[in-house]
Amino acid sequence: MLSFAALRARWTGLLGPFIALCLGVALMSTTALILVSAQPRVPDRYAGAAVLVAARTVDGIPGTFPERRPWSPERTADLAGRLAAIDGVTAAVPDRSFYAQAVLDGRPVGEPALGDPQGHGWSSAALAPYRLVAGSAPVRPDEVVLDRSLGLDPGGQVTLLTATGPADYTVAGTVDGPGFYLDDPVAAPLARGVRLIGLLVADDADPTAVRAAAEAVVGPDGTVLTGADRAEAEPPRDTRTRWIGMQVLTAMTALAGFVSIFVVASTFAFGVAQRRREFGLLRTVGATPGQLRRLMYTEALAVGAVGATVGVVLGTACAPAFGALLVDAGFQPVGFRVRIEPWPPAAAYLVGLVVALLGVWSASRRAGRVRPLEALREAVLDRRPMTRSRWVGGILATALGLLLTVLLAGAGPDDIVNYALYASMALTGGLTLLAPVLVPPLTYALTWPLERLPGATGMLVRRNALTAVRRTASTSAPMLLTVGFAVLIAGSVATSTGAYASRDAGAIRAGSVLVPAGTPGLSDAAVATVPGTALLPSTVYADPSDAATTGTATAGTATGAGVPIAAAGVDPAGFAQVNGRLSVLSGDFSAFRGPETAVVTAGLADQLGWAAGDGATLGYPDGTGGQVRVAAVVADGSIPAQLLLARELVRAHDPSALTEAVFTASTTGPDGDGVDHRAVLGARLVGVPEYAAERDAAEDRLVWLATLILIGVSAGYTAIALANTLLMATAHRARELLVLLRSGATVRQVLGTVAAETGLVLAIGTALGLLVPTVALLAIRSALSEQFAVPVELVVPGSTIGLVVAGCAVLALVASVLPARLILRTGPGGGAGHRVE
Amino acid sequence: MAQRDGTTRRHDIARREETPDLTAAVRLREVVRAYGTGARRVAALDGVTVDFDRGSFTAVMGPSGSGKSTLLHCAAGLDRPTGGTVTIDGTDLGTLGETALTLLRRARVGFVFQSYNLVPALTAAQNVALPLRLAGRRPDPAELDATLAEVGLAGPGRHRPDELSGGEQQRVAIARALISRPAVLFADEPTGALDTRTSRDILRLLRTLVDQHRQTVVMVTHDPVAAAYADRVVLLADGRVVDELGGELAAETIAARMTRLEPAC
Repeated sequence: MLSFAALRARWTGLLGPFIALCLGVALMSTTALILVSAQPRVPDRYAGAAVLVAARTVDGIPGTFPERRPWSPERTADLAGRLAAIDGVTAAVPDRSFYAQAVLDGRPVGEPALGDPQGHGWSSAALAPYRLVAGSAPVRPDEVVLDRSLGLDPGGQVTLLTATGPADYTVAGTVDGPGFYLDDPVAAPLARGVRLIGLLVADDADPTAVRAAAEAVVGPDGTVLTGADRAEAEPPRDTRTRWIGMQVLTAMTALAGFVSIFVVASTFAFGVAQRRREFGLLRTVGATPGQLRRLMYTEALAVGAVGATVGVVLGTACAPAFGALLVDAGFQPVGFRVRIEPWPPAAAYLVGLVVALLGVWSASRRAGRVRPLEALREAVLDRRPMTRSRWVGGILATALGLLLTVLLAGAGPDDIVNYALYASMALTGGLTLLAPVLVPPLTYALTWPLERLPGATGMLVRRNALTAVRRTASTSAPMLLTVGFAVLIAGSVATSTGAYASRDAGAIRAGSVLVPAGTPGLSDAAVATVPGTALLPSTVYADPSDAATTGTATAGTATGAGVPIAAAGVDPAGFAQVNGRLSVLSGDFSAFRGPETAVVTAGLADQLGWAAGDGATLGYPDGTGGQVRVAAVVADGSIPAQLLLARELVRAHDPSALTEAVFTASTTGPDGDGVDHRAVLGARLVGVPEYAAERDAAEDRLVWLATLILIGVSAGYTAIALANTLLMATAHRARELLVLLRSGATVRQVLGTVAAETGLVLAIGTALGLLVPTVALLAIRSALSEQFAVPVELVVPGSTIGLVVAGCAVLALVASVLPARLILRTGPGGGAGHRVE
Repeated sequence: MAQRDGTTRRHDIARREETPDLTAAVRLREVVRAYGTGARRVAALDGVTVDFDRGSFTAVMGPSGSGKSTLLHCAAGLDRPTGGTVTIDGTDLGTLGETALTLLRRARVGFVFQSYNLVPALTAAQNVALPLRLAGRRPDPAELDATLAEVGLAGPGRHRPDELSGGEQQRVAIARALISRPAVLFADEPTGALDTRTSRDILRLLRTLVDQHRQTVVMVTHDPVAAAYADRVVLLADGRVVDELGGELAAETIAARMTRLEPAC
């Protein structure tokens, strides 16, 4: 009875925890549903093949996802022949894929990914199956069948861009699915190595028998996938997208959970402080400390149950739309759909209740400690704004923060941002705890001019803030957190992105760079438009027999199928001129010339036991093998890959590979002649700084999006806390506001005072909130510029922070002026006089 | 948990009540209540020894700052003395922990404040039933009605405190104090916020409780007219008992004694 009566009476105090829990649970159920739904699916392209035979996976270029190592052409032919002979198998189709992109109206269309080429042999259309909608199958070398959604009719002409360059084709037919299909013998020389053979199975065949027979044929040389297992054949790109999405979602949910706990805890703690009289009264009429604790728990549970219910409904309803949003943002692969299942929302609901109980824990202990006589005391002045635990916690957190800031200076580039984050978190926490000590001098300084103003408002604002130190501290704390967090995250991401770009730009000795535009990479024809040094990335494999026993742990798992190596094909002489960061450890870089030689990084050389002068056996992406001699071993990070090979070697064994960039001495700007010609080829010329800044643009975009999501979640929550604290504080000042009214103030004057006090709280919070991350950002800048030996600019995204501050200000003013207006409605005679509160 | 504790406690107390040698409902021995330490130490109570007998109506008087309210708070177990012992119904309060003390107060002590101290969110009837609910008991509607009738409130049980007059609110507060049939009812300036007529009604009500139900009542007041309703007046000055009046009390006599005390402080 008491709890529910109390709930009814003090909804203003419970609105914050309610909204926090509601949004937290909504976010958790959406995320849980998305995480559960985010499972690999059978790629549409293979949906019609009952059995897939896939090559073995190799784990491991650090930072990438497992890929399948192609079979050699002979092995492919042998396997396809024997698989086709299995009883019940109507066809065994090797999946040959190559880079292909249509050029329409002088521009390459679509944005095909490097890892998911769109060009295929015609026979593989049967695996989907994609059916001819019009026209006929390609038979002549210049005939292509393509997606009907491109709007081309059979008999028409189309320019296709492949790894070699643009070529004209005649449209033989159109299909009801994506891709460009050439006659198999035409496709084969363009294609990279075969990694998958699809089996078309007769309707009356026994799938188990086919599977067993296929396994017998392929042996240890591959994996047979049937049914839902075929999802394992999805492009590694989708696995990566899903992984990134999962990281972001998990971080978002964890943040939401933690912040919810703090919002619930702080609002309940504030509520206890304001309800001391009520609790004292209850203690006087016979409530035990335990009963008050249980009262708090019951309130929290009731709020939690209602908030979580609304949250679950909201979260489940929003999940499909949010899923679509994630696909658009690049956090989930195309084709991702949310499946609604009962248990993820149920789990989110339970977590919501637990969060509510955890949040109320410390407040309930404080409620239990209220003494009976406190009902009779009136405490306007905070007698003891600093408790001992506040001192201890505040000093410890600040010390930890300072220690981390010192460590930050010596941290490696990868750790800098982490250290900065932890340092700022600790400093922010420390400042929040020490706020009652810091707020009075700050208030004193900020409001000094106010008292000199004519009129009562300035004086009232100043005196109120100085008297109720703890209230001022606890209302400005959420603002401190919001601003601090936003400045830190946005600033550190922007600053380090800029730092990496200037470091990379500093290492490139070229006039300008030819980069892809609208294509995943440059074709050979595009490369030929400028004189210069091209970078042609590919993946090669070291054979297990070469793997030294000193190999790392990951080498062990990959032993069966070899060790993947990120390789790049370059022109040796040109490369040495362009690369300003080259650092040769042993051997001679000038001995790197011609297709028989290679340069390796120290890390890879250690892993595989290679040394300068050794011969190294490599497996190529077309499935063949060969030997090269190690000319030189260079420092890790001084070349843009693990292994440098001659460009012609890479081109010969990876016909589908695309060039990443061409570094040219010419400084002919993008406005030079031949612009249109380059655009047709999907290329454009940019300056070195622009190249460095854009190189990781796609990656940076995801990072920035994730950053904004995290800032949004945390700022949103702290804004709730801010509004809620102000709402409660104002509601509890009814008597004080009415006294002002009775003393002859107009309603407008009282509201003006309330608004000015809110403004002061915001100013204090913002000032403290800017302080901490600025220290951390300066530390980041000096650490980065020392690491990279280039001057680093401190970037603070002002618009993001301005938006955060403005949003908080609007919310805070509404949350304080509106309840004040409601209180004043009763007029000067209105009745808080006899109330306990 | 609370229910079981409450029941046990009530049982213990009921058994003690049967012990014949107890005549005083509340007994204070050398009670000291000091605030602050060292040079700033102030003793609100400085060695008070006094008994409040069963079925008696005692008024505690004294100039402001004499320690009247502190005496009442210590006697009721709302505040803990820094020295001496307080015994209610034979139980030494100093031996009890916070929860046990609360349970004892809930069962054996009623308290009425000058400022009513009703829970604003609850109706009058809910306020009265609050101590029973806190003890884990479901209030019997008949019992509630009887208690409300006893204090002269038959109608306004459904109203919330801010819809009641001052006198009505104080009656609700008295009903709340009586609902658990306490051994002693403490009242701290119960008429301080009321007009003369309403005050008289409240004092008559307290007198009736003593005469008809043998309810022990201890009342702090500074009003000689109010004190005249009591059987006995204890006069306090500077934290000590300085005088006592008994027998037929007239307001004028009490006022005269009070006047003599005033210069002392």
